[in-house]
Amino acid sequence: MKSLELINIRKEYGDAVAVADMNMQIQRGELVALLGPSGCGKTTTLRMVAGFIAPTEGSVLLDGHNVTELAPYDRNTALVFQSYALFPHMTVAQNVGFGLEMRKVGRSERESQSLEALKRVRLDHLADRYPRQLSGGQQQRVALARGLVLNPAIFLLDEPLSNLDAKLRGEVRSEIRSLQQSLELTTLMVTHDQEEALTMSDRLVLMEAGKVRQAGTAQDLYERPADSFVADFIGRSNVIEGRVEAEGFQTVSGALLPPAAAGKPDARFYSVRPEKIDITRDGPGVEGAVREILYLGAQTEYTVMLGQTPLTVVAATPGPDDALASLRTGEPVRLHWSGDNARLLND
Amino acid sequence: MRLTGLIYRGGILIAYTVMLLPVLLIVVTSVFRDAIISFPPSGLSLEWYRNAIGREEFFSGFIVSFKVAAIASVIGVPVGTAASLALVRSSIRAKQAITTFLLGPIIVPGIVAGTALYLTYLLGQNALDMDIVGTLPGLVAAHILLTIPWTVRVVTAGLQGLDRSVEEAALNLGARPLTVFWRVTLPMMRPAIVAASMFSFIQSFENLELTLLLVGPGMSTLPIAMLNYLEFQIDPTLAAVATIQIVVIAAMMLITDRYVKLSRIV
Repeated sequence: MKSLELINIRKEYGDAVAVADMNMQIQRGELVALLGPSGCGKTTTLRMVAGFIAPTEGSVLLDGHNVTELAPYDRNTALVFQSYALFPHMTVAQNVGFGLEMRKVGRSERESQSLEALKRVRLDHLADRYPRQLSGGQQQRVALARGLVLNPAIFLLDEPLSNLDAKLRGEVRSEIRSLQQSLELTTLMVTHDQEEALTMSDRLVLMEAGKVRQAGTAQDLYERPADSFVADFIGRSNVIEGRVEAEGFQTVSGALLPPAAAGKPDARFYSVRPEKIDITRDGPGVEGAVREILYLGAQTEYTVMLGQTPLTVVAATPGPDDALASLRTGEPVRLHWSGDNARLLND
Repeated sequence: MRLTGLIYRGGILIAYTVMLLPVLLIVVTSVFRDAIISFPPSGLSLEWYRNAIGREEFFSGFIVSFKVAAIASVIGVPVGTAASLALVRSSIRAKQAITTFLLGPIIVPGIVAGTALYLTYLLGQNALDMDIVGTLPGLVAAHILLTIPWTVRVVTAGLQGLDRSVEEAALNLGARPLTVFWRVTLPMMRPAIVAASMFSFIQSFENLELTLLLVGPGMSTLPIAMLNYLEFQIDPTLAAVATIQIVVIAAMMLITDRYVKLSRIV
């Protein structure tokens, strides 16, 4: 059952195309993250679903009904803003009850439903407070409860965590996810933070310059990126320009890399994740020179030059007895990776 | 670094001294016993307060000033607020020109504006064959001009700082645009409107230059009554009247500040 369907959505501002021919479906109970750098059209897409922006072309379907022409207040969506956007002059309970009031629900029914929604986010004890008396995380939960109480067709989360400090972000992240899963809330979340998108979503849609670059599960995008943009944006990746030869991949700067298992032979880019590369002093693989060693605690990051091509390698920090422990910049090392972990990308 | 800090603090100290010293002197001299102010005084007395409260022209002047300020604010603040909404929210052209035009009354010197209004009123009186100069409506109309610029300034600043996503949240929760305005926008504008009302009231209440030409026989505002008194007397009665005004305005500010933090707006 599809809760949201976007069909050939296009948004133009004058000559500028904000969103180009977007097609997307979200199944009931699914959390889809719309990910991309700023200006990629993800927020525009979200606002078209909410009804604040009218698409130039295409249709928005909510629970099978075409809502493209409907005003925001006639659509059953719940938008949670980055700034929380609580009503500052109303108590928490009044905030949560506002939507019910607009639907002409009676006072006592309204109060019991609001309290129910606040219980779901464990804030029923703060019902009589004003938003300014709450912490950022609590305000975010009130904003969620304000949507929950209306039983919307879809939740729209606009950068829900970016106003929270780093420690709180992790807590709220798992809280939103567990709430979403236990209540099977259909959710579209916009974020520029790939970690947020990877950890919270069932599926990701990665956008760039108004276009969908790749859609799929976190594993799909991470393990099988469709192009160099995806490989670079999701996680970290060594994306190296060159051409495919019989014996391997010839980089522009002259290094020869092991043949990649997947990708078209006319590809111009070769990609391998930093953590998929084994680094040794005298093991198998290609030889390179260490240019930089960054100690990150549990892990260590090395920059190794294969000729003129820099490769980033992330490995567990070697123990005191390990030969790598004494490694210094300028010394030779060997890099090895399986062709299964390398991909050829066309652009 | 330390020197600039010192200069900075010194500058602030001088500015406050220049502003507050006359106020302090007025309060102090209002309790001097001598009719001709001299230092040190021969004694202290509340005689001048008794005189100030007892004199008919100050009392009636206070009533007129209060009435004019209240009516002008009640009319001018909503008009100015509507203008601010239009200027901030709509996509009308020539916003800058309209803003400047609306701020005009505080840019043009009061005596010039007063003369212009006086002449306009005279023309109006001839054309309509009715009194305008020296009437309460005539005075109120002029004072509305004083309240609008202050309201536009304060409310525009308030509106620009207002988070639009709160209104969008209300739309998203099912409220129609008019409901959003009454239930969300207007309550969020309240601090700015309260501050605008207070400034408008004070502007009108203490105005002298504009008012001077527009009052008539038997209708005088408090500042004009004070000016008249000064022409014949120089005893500390005026200091007593001024002190009462200072206390009243300070009380208004403190009460307002309890509801809206003035420092957030001005």
